[in-house]
Amino acid sequence: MSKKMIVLKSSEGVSFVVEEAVARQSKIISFLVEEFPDRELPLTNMTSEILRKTIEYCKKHVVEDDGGGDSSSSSSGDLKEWDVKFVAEIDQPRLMDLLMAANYLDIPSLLDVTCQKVADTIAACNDEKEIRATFNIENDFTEEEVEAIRMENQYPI
Amino acid sequence: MSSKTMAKEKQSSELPSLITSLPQDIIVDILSRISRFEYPILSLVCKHFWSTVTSPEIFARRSLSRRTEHCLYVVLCCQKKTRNQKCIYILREKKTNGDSPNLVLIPSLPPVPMYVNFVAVGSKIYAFGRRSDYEKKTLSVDCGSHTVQPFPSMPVHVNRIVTGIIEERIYGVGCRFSKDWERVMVVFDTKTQTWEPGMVSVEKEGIMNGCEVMVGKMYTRNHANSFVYDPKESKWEKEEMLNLHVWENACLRAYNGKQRCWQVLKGLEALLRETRRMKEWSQTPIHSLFYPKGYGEIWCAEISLETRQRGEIWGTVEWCRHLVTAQSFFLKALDVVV
Repeated sequence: MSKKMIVLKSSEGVSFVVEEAVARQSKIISFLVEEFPDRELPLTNMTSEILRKTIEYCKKHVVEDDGGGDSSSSSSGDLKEWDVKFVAEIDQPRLMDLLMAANYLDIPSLLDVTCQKVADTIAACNDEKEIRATFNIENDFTEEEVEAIRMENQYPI
Repeated sequence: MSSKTMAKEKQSSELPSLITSLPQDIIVDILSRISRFEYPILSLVCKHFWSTVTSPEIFARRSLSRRTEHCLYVVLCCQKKTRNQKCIYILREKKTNGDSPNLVLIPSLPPVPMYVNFVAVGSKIYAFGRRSDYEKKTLSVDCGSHTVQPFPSMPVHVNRIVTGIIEERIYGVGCRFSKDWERVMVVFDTKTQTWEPGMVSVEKEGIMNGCEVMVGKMYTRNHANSFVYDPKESKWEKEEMLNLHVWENACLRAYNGKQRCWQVLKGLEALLRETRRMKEWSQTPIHSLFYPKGYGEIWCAEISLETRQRGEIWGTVEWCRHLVTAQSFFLKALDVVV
């Protein structure tokens, strides 16, 4: 039996032909496929680069049903290792895009690994200045407010 | 390096931050994965981070996703500063200050009167008035938001209460006067945040000095006798073994509740010689011994335990450090999970 394929289209209009089982890891796509079968799905807020990355992740994580029950394409230990490598290779702005794509497409496991990577990046920073610089966050506190928070948090005895 | 920083600054004025434009639910999820001890730094990043790490949502998420951590809170009485009132501190592992832990006051929590007992269950600290006229001073502290919350009053007035926790229930033993002095036990269920109706009469004499919970049973003792309460059987019994030894200062013993025997802890003799006066042993998440030294100094020693051949228990001092000098004396260490 040939595998059913669907077409996903990025914001630049590039089409990606993907196995339905791979794409169905996204709860949104899973829903859309049932509602609009045989239709090309436009993902207007996802660039080709991020869509390609998302598909790469889904391909690795697809659970194949060969009729003999569910069997994952990789063991869970290998998958974890692969996930760590997968997010480690992505730079910070693209990681945020991928996180947003996981959230938009509703892929819980991808959202989990990207959130964990962002959390690890924040935790690795030495102070608030480094966090701001890493994530382009504007300091919107006045000096008095900073002093008040410091007093609240690190009150000397 | 400086040109790189400049470039980053320039970029930041042109591009809005991606992280702060994420849905709030995602930001809560990300920050809930970071250690609680980093929250003081996170709260200084921007207003958005500050409001997130001080919100009840983040602590609810940590609990739901099983990302909670053990935090050691310490209750100290600083005579000068607070006129004999007790203040609550947290033992903080400060990343920016190197690796040595340090004790910081939580200024948002009000000082509490002397005659108050403290217990911790989950993310909350409960403070009980030990005298019935202090009953109004009974309060609970949410250690996520560091706020004081209302606490339902006890079903009966109980004096000189000592408390123990078994399976998220607080068992309070004290005495009350009706015709004559009688000893009673009241039970507070932290899951429902209510007192169980009525009280349990406890037939034992004398004033109870303290309370310890071991293997699901509550042990309490006075100068002559010790007693054990088993909540499964709702029964108090005399426990002879607990008061077997005359307690000396330079000896630390471990009680095996199952085999009902005492064992001397070895390897800590040098430390115990320094801790002649009042000391407090905190078991979770790590074994810590708090003790006063010199004039108003509070010290803390972290101890690791191992069982060696023939079942001997040996302790090793991992580190030992002066925490604070403030004409203070140490009262209680509380293991809070947030």
